[in-house]
Amino acid sequence: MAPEDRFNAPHAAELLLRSGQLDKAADVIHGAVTAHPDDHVALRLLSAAEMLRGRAEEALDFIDCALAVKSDTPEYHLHRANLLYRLGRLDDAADAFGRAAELDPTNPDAKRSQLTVYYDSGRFTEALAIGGELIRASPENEEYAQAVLQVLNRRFEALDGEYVVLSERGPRPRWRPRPRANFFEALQTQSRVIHALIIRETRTRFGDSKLGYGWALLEPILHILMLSLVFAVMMHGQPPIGDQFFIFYYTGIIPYHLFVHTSTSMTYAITSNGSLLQLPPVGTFDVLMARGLLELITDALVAVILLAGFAAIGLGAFPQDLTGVFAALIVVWLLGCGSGFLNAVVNAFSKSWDKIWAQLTRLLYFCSGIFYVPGMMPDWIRDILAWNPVLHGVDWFRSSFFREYEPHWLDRSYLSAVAVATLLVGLALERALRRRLCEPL
Amino acid sequence: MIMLDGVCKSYRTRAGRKTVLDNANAVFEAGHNFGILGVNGAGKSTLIRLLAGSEPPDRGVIRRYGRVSFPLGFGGTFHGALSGRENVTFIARIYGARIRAVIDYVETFSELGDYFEMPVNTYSAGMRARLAFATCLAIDFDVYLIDEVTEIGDQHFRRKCAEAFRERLLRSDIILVTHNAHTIRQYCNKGAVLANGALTLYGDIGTALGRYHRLIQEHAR
Repeated sequence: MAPEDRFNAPHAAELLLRSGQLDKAADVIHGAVTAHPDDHVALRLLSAAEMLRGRAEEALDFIDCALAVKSDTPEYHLHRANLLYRLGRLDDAADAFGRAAELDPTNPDAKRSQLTVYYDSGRFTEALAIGGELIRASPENEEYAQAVLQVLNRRFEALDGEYVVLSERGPRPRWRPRPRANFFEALQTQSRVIHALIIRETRTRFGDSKLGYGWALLEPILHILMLSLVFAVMMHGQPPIGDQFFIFYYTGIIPYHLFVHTSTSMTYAITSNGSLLQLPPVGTFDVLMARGLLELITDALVAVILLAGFAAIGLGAFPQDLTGVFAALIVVWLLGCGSGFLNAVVNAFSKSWDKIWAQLTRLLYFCSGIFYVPGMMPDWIRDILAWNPVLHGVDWFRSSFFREYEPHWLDRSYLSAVAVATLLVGLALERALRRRLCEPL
Repeated sequence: MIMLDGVCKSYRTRAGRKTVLDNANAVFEAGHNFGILGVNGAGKSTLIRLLAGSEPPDRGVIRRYGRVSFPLGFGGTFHGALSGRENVTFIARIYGARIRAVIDYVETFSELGDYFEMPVNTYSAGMRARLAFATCLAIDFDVYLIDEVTEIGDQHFRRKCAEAFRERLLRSDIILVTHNAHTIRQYCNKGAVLANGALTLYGDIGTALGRYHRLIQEHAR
């Protein structure tokens, strides 16, 4: 059979297509089309062959050629519309389906397809108009009713309202890069965020109880009063320094609490604020710092309230070196912060770290000279205990509180160096691993 | 304007690592509203969170010029034990907005009534969404990021939101993710398609919807 056989080639091609020999069919029909470029039946077949071979673009070209020869065949338009739909040119496909429907008003399929295309491209108003026509033509057809219902439901879901016309906007620059925040502005934002976090923390930590943040103050106060009462009875009221056991115990427990509260509370700052970190301005550093600062404020308040309470019941004692007391507390707090940063980082990778840390803090309670002075210990034990920076914090605080207490083992620069080093390492680790810290595990 | 520069992002799932973005470069220009399309599981919500800065990218940089909102439709930051008022105050403080004005706006807009003073964990999902929506609108953002708005409230509230958005869009841009092509047509003039770790921006909605349509067809196959 010669390829230019105008009458048999299409038949042969159609048979080949039906039997699945696509490439061969395309070859045959291609020959026919080359011989007779204005044979629209052959062009239509070639388009079908290309479509079946998955070459939608070429198929579209050939059906366009066929339509150029004979533009009033509804089936051609239908085929073209399907190709456009497949290619994702939804608006063109809708138009083509419309044209097919116009040419053959008796066939509802074109309109039904047009509805689908309008629906897919979000043109619900047009889809509804078509749906109305379909239902009017065949009111008993359930599938049409379903389709219209689907459009209506989807439209109901949409954030409805009038169309937004972008040209309504006033003149605005295409690019409006805001200057990047300078250091001062960045600092302002950060302190604003931390401030907000601290306030939130005071409201949420004891959210269930009426007393709220009051508990954060009351709890350590009660704890200190209880334990000092126990120790006072055990030691017959005679403290190693000063003449009141309450005051002595107070000078030990305040720095210790500041360290433990700060470092422990920061451990959980990231895990318990996971949802907050979703707010772009809030970073891991902010939630950590907020907790650290809140502990500083809380423990400072506790210290002041207790001192005032002692004075009120006649146990008048006032720190003799106020600057020294403040310095000791600040350095202890810095150590607590550094440990807190480290804890938070370690805890993000090893979930059991917080349990180990809790045990360590318990051990520290006995090793930090809180209810005794290291001088009461044998020298070799004291030398070992002197490695504990918190012990230096307690003794620094105590030696500033009581002028007469001047322990020769107290090394303020050791504590300061450890605090600064811990803080630097903690901050560096937090910075380096920040991206992984807030990754939801 | 938001600029993505060589951004990579993937996350762990039970079925192995899932890549959302693989070395993506894109510019969401100011003055345009973008609708982001993508089949289920392509990572549209992750993309929105990346754009917001709620999540850091694994690699690359995302630059934001102007104030970008937190992902709207996201009420996760609300603390259950705090009242609506306290939660809104917190957000206003974080963004340095005038607290009084924000509170007044949210109280009126969200129509929560007495519930505004109640802990958020007593709210229904719809009330939470209303609070989140109103809070986001109360703060003046340059770009609003919206993740699936369709579920918010009843028709009355949706209409109100649409109205508020229309007014807000005269000044601000939106980048929104939705399955509803109608919503995208209404609000956006540019489209984007997220698929297989690539983010492609299109100059018009029609092309983007067409590409999305083909993706769905391929996905179904």
